[in-house]
Amino acid sequence: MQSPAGKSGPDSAPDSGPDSSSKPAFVGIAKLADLPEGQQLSVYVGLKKVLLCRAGDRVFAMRDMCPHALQPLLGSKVENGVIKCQKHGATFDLVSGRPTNGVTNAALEIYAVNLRDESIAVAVR
Amino acid sequence: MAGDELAVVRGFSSKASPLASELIKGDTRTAPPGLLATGSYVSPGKKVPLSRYYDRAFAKLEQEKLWKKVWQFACREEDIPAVGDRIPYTVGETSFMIVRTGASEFRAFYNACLHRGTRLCDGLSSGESVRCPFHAWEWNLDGSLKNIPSRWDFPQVKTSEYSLPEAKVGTWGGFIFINPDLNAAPLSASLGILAEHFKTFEPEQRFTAFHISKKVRANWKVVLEAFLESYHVVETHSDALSFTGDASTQYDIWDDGKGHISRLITPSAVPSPHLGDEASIANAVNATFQAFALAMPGVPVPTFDASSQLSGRAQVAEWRRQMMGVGLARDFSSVPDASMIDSIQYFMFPNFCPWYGEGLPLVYQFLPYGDDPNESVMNVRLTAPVPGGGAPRPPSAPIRHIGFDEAFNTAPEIGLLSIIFDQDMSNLPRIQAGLKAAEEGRAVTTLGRYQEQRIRHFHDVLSATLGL
Ligand code: FES
Ligand code: FES
Ligand SMILES: [Fe+2]
Repeated sequence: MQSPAGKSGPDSAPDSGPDSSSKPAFVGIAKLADLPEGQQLSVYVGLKKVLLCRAGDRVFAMRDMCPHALQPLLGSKVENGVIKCQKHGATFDLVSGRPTNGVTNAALEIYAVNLRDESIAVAVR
Repeated sequence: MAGDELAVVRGFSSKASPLASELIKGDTRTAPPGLLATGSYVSPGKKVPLSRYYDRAFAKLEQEKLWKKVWQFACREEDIPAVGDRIPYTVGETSFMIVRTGASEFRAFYNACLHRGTRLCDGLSSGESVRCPFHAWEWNLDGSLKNIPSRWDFPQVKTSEYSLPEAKVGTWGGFIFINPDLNAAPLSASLGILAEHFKTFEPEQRFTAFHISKKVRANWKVVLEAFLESYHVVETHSDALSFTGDASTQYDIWDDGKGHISRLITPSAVPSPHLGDEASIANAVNATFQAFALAMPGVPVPTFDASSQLSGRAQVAEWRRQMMGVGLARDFSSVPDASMIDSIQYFMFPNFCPWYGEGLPLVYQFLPYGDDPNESVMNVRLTAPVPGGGAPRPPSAPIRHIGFDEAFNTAPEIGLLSIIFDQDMSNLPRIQAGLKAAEEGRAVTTLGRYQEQRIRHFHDVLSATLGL
């Protein structure tokens, strides 16, 4: 398990950036080569853990925390654009973040991804 | 009860993660007697009916026979720093106003006007007298009646009979306790071993650095019990396993019939024994360095030094001694490793959890909320050491109120701790809902013999207090 990189101090709230109204910027957080097809990677961005999942040509980025009981999602199964939390089985659409079954009503935080020059850039909110 | 004669296994360890008691023995400093002491209480292990957590008649019984009869933690002295300062302490439907009436004198008055009942104190406030907002009846700080407007209309009121009624007040280590039972024995008996064990920690030399009051949709005992064991870490806080000795936690109970105290020691900077004999100590140590560094933005974060003579735990402890020593102009050189980095949490019946040591110096307080047994309040504060070198005592942090449907992560001052609390909170309403749905024959808890013994003890004392 990777641990907090401590890039920002404890003053920044885990759930909202300094100004959540403005568009978040894309930040390169991994190399495409480090994320082979079907694999996952959990990376700290400030105090937030971001989960990258590669499915074919696509890379999905989301908060590595299931909103059901706030557990890490790393290692959970991704299939047909849906991730299924390995803890208690909540499923989320990887594009909208919306839950697709009844384990929780809360949505998963999804981040926009930009693939450029073999690098994975993510707009973390 | 079948099975209760079976031997108690005192925790589970791995090659990489020994029992807490072993770690403390291998400390670089000799641990103080309190840390080495072990409790001897063994619970008779009576089953706990789930109705205790939602039955209104049971809540009423608690209000009458528990909250009106026992010493309970109300607030800290630094909450009301100047003479005339006052703050409410509200437990269920009962409320008291805690007032600093002298340099180191405190009183607790029933928080209700003797005229027509209006609550006198809603939050932190101060003044030379206590004045009701409805018709301005007024009392002196010592509780004696000062003034009644249109005094001519109250010929039946004898000034001497209209002092504000009081509860008993006791203090220890900067903590203020009250007991509404005026015939109660002094506080010291109820503190049990606490005073002895906390001598080396000096809780009076600390101040409240953050203070959260969280409303929870669960019975106050459900909330309390969620914080009395480290058994839930493996499921509820799975992201902490790489650096938390959950299963190797040590639990102790001391009970002399008057003081009802229990304690857990959960080691840091070791992997969970659940991760196996080969789990990485370097990862555990690095994650602990990083967790502590979050409270000190800008400070370079050390990493595990495999070539050092010192164990990983001792490395983290030594770094903390130096950082805290410089930051606070205080000397931590004789403080043992365990007291610098581990989670050492005491509990005093019925509502008080003071943590020991610099690892995580929190204070928890658990309270029923109004008359609904399905709701409660959990108060959490961090008590930081007062700086040395003649620096002034920092002011106490104001209370941040977090509503039923708000998360701890709305409180930026607590940093990453908010995730841990929100993980705990996510369980609580679910527990409250589930325990009411239990099949009648199975509407009891099944508690672990070792890891959940503090919950057993709590219910033993509760039953005795309620006369059950
Ligand atoms: S934590 Fe993901 S389903 Fe419960
Ligand atoms: S596993 Fe503990 S309450 Fe269900
Ligand atoms: Fe917890």
